[in-house]
Order: sequence, then structure tokens, then C-alpha cells
Amino acid sequence: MVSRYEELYAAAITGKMDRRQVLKRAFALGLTIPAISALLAACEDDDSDDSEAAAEPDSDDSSDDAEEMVEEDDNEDEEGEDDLDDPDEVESDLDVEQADAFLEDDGWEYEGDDRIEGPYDGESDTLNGAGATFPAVLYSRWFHEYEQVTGVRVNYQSIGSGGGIASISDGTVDFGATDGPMNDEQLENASGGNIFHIPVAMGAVVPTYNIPDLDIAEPLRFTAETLAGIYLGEITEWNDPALVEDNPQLEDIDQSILVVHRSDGSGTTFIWVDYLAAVSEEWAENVGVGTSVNWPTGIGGNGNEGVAGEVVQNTYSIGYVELIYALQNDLGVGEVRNQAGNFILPSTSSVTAAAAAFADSIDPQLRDRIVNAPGEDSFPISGFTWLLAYENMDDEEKGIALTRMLWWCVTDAQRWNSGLGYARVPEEIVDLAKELIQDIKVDGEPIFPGE
Amino acid sequence: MSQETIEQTQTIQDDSLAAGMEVRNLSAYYGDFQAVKDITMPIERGKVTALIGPSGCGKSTFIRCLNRLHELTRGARVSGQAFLEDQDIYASNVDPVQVRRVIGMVFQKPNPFPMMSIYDNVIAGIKLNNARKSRGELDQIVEHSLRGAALWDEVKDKLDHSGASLSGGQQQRLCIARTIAVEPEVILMDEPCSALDPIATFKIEELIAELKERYTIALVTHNMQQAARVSDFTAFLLSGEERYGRLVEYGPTQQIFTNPQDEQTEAYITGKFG
Amino acid sequence: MQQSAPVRGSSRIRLDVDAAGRGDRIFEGATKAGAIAILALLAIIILLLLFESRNIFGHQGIGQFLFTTTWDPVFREFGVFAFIYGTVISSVIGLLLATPVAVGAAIYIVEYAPRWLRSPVSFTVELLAAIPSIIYGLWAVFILGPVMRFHIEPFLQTWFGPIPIVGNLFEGTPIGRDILTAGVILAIMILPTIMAISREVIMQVPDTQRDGMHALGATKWEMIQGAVIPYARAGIAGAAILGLARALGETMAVTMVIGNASTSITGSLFEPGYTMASAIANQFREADSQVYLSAIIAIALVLLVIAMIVNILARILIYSLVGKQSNSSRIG
Repeated sequence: MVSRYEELYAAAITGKMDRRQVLKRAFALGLTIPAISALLAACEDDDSDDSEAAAEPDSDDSSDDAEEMVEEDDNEDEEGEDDLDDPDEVESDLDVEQADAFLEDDGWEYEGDDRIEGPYDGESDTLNGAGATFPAVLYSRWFHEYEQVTGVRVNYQSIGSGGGIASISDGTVDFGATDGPMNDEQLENASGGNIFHIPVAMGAVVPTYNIPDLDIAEPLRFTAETLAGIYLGEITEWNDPALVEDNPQLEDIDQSILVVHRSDGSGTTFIWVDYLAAVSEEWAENVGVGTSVNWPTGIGGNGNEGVAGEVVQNTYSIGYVELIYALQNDLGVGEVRNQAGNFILPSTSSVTAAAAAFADSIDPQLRDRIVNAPGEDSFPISGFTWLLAYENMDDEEKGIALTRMLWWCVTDAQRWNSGLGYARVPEEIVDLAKELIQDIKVDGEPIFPGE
Repeated sequence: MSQETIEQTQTIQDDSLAAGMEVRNLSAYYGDFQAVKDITMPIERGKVTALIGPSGCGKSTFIRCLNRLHELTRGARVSGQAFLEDQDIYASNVDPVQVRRVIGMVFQKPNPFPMMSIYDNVIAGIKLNNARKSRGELDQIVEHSLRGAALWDEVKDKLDHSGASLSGGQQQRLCIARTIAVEPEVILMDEPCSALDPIATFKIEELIAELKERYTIALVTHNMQQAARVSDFTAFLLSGEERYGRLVEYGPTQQIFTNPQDEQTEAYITGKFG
Repeated sequence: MQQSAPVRGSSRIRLDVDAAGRGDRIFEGATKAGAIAILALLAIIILLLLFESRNIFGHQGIGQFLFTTTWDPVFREFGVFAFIYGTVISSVIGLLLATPVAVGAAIYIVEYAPRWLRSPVSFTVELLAAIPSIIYGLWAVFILGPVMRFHIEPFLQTWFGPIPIVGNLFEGTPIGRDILTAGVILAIMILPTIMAISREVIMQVPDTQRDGMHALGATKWEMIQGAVIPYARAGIAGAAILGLARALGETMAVTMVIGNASTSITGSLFEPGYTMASAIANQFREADSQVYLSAIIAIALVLLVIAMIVNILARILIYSLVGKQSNSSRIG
């Protein structure tokens, strides 16, 4: 699939296919919405032929060589109450609209005067990175753009946060990427000394549930107590008084709750349990925080799609997934009450708000987690995804290239975030991140060429 | 014990008036290929009838028709009649399984069941008949059958050993014991000595001579001396240009070997071909 | 050397070692190297696993590791017993369900099926063996899981639930993500392996054995029971063991339906479970401490040891079955 994606991406970039063709093919391949968004963004900006009937012939062979994926797709669609049988037919127009709506940019542009523009003498022309899968779509978009801007080629392998940490620790890559901050033990074990965490995007983890009796337009409201209770196995029925208090519609749902969690170690789990631990002493003491924990109850699904699949298949279940995954799959998402007492529906802006609320108190190393954020509009189950770089590097060319790239990531690059379903890092945090970047040294001297 | 056994043996012997067979116009096919054509001959009761002929003359196929084993081969079929006493074993209302219970067979290659003990090998056929027999009765049958196959003295102390642990000649006699344990009317023997050494062969031949007291025997052999030594009647089969086997001559063994009516028979028994 | 040779002029006939022996020795050397390489590979794997898992055994006792069920990466308590339990039970269910069906199918193909049906059926079954396990997993998630949850498991619960002891196996809420579902998908996955080998083994049963039983007046079924199955049983046992070995190590499909939870061992087949292979696949990538990582590698070690034990038991089993038969080679 990756190679097909890359092919398609190439076709989109070079203008061999127009938006519509790319869309059709992408849906036939069963690509995720972020991937499709990236593809569309890569298309040349000729929106003019958007509405025209585009050339048909492509659709045939595309559905052909993607048969397996389509099948998989169909199944998911069934559960998604979407009744998509043939991706080529009328419904594909719907998908176009969906995708377009999703793509709608908020028009944000970086306005500082410290932008990275053009190549720089003496910088290395390649950088290698590896790590988190969650932001991989964003990164591939970024690094493609970055090569256009500076000519520096950035290779990124999405091997998982653990792999990213391991790779930077033993120095096999120039930078790592992770969804969960490195712990003290990991930092001690890094071969090249101190590692900086540069937050470059944000995500949220949202509760998703499947109660067929309920209207999906009226999301359930969860509190710290109810979520912790459910995941501790203490709240076992949907009509538990604690739940009914905020959700009168649950009164008649006399069903036991099937709890779904991730079976694989993941940054998503980390943020979720980090939140539960922040709000529940019992959770903090008995279960704790990690990329995988000893779950008191429930069944495990592999990946966001595994959890979503279990939730969709099993009525009266609850699970948690990445915000963008919930958005793109139209999952029923619950509101969560934040510290200020407001029930917040997760969105990229409510996530950014959460981080902004921490700006004053955050540790300047930016390793802090931001769950249970204060602030009226903060969605409380949010987290950064970081790029990892050594404080002290020994290769000057790499040092220049890396610091410039990091700088670009926290500034100009942020404009792609919300279009792809990731929240932007708030300006207050970006300022702190810039300080860290300026602190990266080669031979004891700061290497970033800006001011 | 042994006195009793002998008495019982005597009784069985007296009761068993082995039935004879009468083959009429029997042909056998493998798919489109006709292996045996139009054979008509008797298998005299209480006698040994030898079937001789060169390789590929269809004598093994023919003998497998006599207990309806031939038809188990994929694509094989038989036409014609074969009477056991007054019953055509190929009549439509006849169950081939019942036919095989009264017409036993000993094969070219000794084929004891290797996963069974000697004891169990002997009673393998008894067990199939669903007859609930006591341990004592089974013990008697085993001893009687093994004595009947002249094997008792050699194996009586190791009845629980695997049937495969015996020598080739012993295995073949075990197969004979297995066959006579179910008290058939007719025993078909398809070159029973071809895989055996001369001493084992001699023992089997001696046994055949004893067995014909109680059973009708049809014996396929490629060994003319053997046919001459043990049989009462001999049938000579030959496949000529036509490639299917046919009966050339049938008669008392002595006559076939001393005064054959057909020159092909004469040529064969004098070693001119085959 | 020369002096002992009879004076016969030139050595037209060469009998010295080098003439024909060199190629032979090279070939022998090459095969020996291959054999040694395989042994060395196994040794290296074991040593590597031992080395990489050393941290866990410094961290906690081997007894605690093997015989407790708490797997808590956060508080660094690592007990694999629930994984071992899930692995063994799901595999054994798979084996028990698959073997009769596979052997039955093999018997049908060899003994009953008309000739024209043999190849298509065999081909189809072998094709099943070639299907990647992820596809079985997807099928299990979308088809088997719901069928188990809504039909088979409630049925089992209704009919066997009230029976004492046996009923314990079917306690709890059927969700279709449990040890039984994993066992069923394993059964389906190992079925082709067991069937294909059983078919080969049954075809190897000499016709003389079949004739012998037929000639005693056996019906077809009696013949199969009395001659074919006993003769083939060592091979069939081998086939089943191969199937079991595949089931023990199967990762992807099982991970997708077993529930991946090891909260408790209740004895019920309707409980979600966790297998060793699933635990490794799920957690290896994001293991965030040395002890955690070495605990996961230690699971691999345990899995390897269990697989080896199964293989050794299989050898003993087959040997004891074949032992009686071994002399049959004397028949020639």
C-alpha cells in the first residue's frame, strides 16, 4: 500500500492525474483520509476542473488491482452505516465532498519574519529520521514541501515511537519522532547525551462508543470520574447513575459496557491513560501510565482501526482513538468535561487551546504532558507529538540542516496541520521550542544560523 | 486343553464340506482394457486348482474376480458369472462383503497388519463379523488357526508381538491363519510363495496340502513345479496377440503336465516360452 | 607406496584416493556445512534470546516470570502465565477441532472421492494453506467473530452451560473475542496443513493392506478403520503436531480475535485471552524500558522452549507409534 500511495503521490505532484482521478484511486485503494488529504494537497492547484466529469477509464484498473483493499473497505463501511458498495459509483461524489470539507483550511499562515527560505550554504542535503506513525502523514507532506523550499531531502521512516526513541538513542538517525516523551531511563541511555523534545504537532484522544439506541448528533458527555470508572471496571452498566447524571438519555440503556483498549503499545494509549492517571488517584496507583498497561478490564484491538473495529462491531462498547481517526471514520465521539467544568467536543482548535493553557506553566524542556489542561475551551485529553534531536551534535553540516528543518517545522510548516487533521502547536509553545532549537550545539557553539 | 482343541478341530473338519465354484464366461476389465476374456472353468470342492501362465496373462486379475476384489480397483469391472455352489456371487442381490467372508484370500506379498499383534492379526476377520466372542473362544480360534497354518509352535510365546516382527515365511503363514480363522469355504492364493525363500516355500506347500482337506483352494503360481506338486487341477491362461488373457486349457494336473491337449500349453510347460 | 605396487607398467587404472574422491569430499563438506549452519543458527537464536532476556531474570525470579499472571509494564511486574495459558489452550482447541475434520477429509479424498474430484479438492485445500494469516484474521474479525458471538457461543451456553464442570467452559458474556474464537480460527488455519499431510500419508498405505482387510470380509469403513488408519496413524500424528506447531506460533490472525486481554484465567473459553506471540507482536515495538524489552524477549524464549518441547513430545509419540512398526521394513 505504501508503494501505491507513493506512486499516487508522485502522480498527484507531477500533475499526471487531476484531483478527481486521484481521489477515486485513493478511495479504491482504501487509503485513510489524512493520506488522501495529503494527496489532494499535493495536486496542482487547479480547482477549476473539480466539478467536471473527469476521465473515467482509470477507475477500472484501479478497482482491479485494489480488490483486497476494497473488500476490507466494504466491511468497514457496513459497520459505518454507510452502505458503500461500489466505490466507483454515485457515492464517490459524497466522498469528494467529505474529503473537500475535511480539507478546508482555516487559512492560517505563519507571520513571523524568521521564516526559513531557500537553501543555506554548508548544510547537509539529506537528513534521516524515524519514529512515530501517528504524524507520519503530516511529516511526509512537510518533508516533501521542505525539499521544494530548501533542497534538503528528509527521509522519514514511520517505525513507531519506540523505534524512533531507540534509533535516536543509538544514533542511527539524525532525528527521532515520538508521541510519548522519553522517560528518564531512556534519556540516560541515549548514546549522544541530552535529547531535546521539539513539539511539532498535537493530537487528541477521544472516547468513541456504539450505542445503537442513541442519536449520534447528541454526543454522550463523559467526566474524568466516569471515564476512569469505566476503564477501571467499576462502572459496568451504561445506566450507571454517574453516567446518567450527565446523560439522561442513558437512563433506559440497561446494558453492560464492553471496554475496548489498544492491544499494542502506543502513544494513543499513553495520552489516554495519562489523562486517567491525572484525574484518578486510583488509576495512578493501580494502573499507572505507559504506552501499554495492565488493563483492569476490557478487550484489546490492534491500532486505531482495531479499536474502532471492535467498537463498531460490538454494540454497547466504548473505546478510545486518535481524534483524526474518529473524524475521518464518522465515529460517535463523546464530549469530555475539562478542568474548567465545560464539556468539550474534541476538535483541532480545542486541542491547541489545551496546549496554550499550559504555556505559562510548562517545563521549558517541553517534555511535559498536557492532559487535563486548564482553560475554558481546552480539550483535556490532548498531547504533543515531538521530534527528537540531540542537544550536542558533532556534524556541523547536519547540525545546520537539522536546526533549520526543526525551525521550519514549528513555523511555516504548521499551516498544513489542521488541513490534515492535526492541531497546531500554539505560538506560546512555539516560542519555547525556538529557544530549544537555538540551544542545539556543535562543538559547544549554537549552530542554528538564524538570529 | 490341547485334547479339547483337537476334538474341536475334528468336529469343524467334519462339518466343513467346502463348497466348490463354477466360473462361467467371466471377463474382467480395467476401464476400456479387457484383461481377462470369457473364462469358463470349475474350482473343484476340496481340491487345489492351480492357475498357471506367463506374466501378464491375467491369472492374478482372474483370481481377484473370484472374491469380487477386482472391482475395488478404480475403473475395474467384471462381467459373467461365478457360482459358489448354486449362488452367483455376481448376482445383483449379493453383497460383495459377504462374498469375501466366505472366499478368503492370501496375497503375493505377505501383508499382516503391522500395527496389530500376532494375536490380533489372527482374529482381525472375526472382529469384523460383529460376533461377540469371549476371550476364551478367541484364544481357541487363535490357537486353532495358527496350528492350522503350522505357525503355532513358532509364535505361541509371543502372540503379543507385532505381526510385522515375523520373518517373511512366517508372515505369510500368519496371513493364512488369519484367513482360515474366519472359516471360509474357498481360499484364493495369489502367488503366495513368490516373495519367499525355498524353505519357507516348502512349508507353505506342505500347508496347502493339509488345507485342501478342509477348504477349496485356487492357487495362482508362476512356478510350474509348484503347480505340479500341490495341485489337483490346473488351468493354463495365456494372453496372445489380443493382449487379453484367456483360458487355453483346463484339466487334471497330471494330464496337463504329461499330456497337454493344446500345443501352447505344451510349449509353456516345456519351457519354450514364458 | 610405489614399491608395493605390482609392476604393471603405467597406471592406466587409477585407484588412488584423489581420482574420484575429491568431488565426493567437496559435496560431503558442503552438506556438512549446511547441517552445521542450521545447528549454529538455532544455537545463536537461543543464545541471543538468553542474552537479551537476561535483564528480566535479574529483575525478578524465573518462577514469578513463568507462573504469575500479572503483566504490568508500568509497575514492572512481568508474569507470562496468562500468555502461556492462552497460547496452549487456543492451540489445543484448534488441534482438537481441526484434526478430525482434516483426517476425515483426507480419507474422503483418498478412499472415496471419484478420481476427477481428487485434484480440485486437494488443490483447493492446499490453496487454503497459502492464504496469508492476516486474511484469515480479517475474515475472523468480520465473519467468524459475529457468528461465534451471536450464534455458536449462545448455543453452546444454552446447551452445555447448565452441565456441571463442562459448563464452566462456557461461562460469561459471549463477545466473539475470546479463546474459543481464536481456537476456531486456528483450527481453520491448520486444517489444510494437517489434511495435506494426512492425505499423503494415507496414500502411502500400501494397497496390499487394503486388500488384506477387504479379503477378510471388511466393509469399506471397516477396512479404513482396521487397515488404513492404524497404518497411517504415526504420519497423521506427525501432521497434527505440525499443525499444532503452526498454531502455537500463529500471531496475526489470533491477535485479531483473541481479545488481547489477560486480566484473569477463569477457565471459561468465552474469556478474552492473550497469546505469547500476540504479546510480542503487540508490545515489542513500543517497549519503553530495558526490563520491559527483555521481558518481551523472554516471552520469545519461553515460546521457543514450548515449541521445542512440543516437538520433542511429538517425536516420542511418533516413535512409540512407529516403534512397533519399525520391523515391517523386513518385509521388503
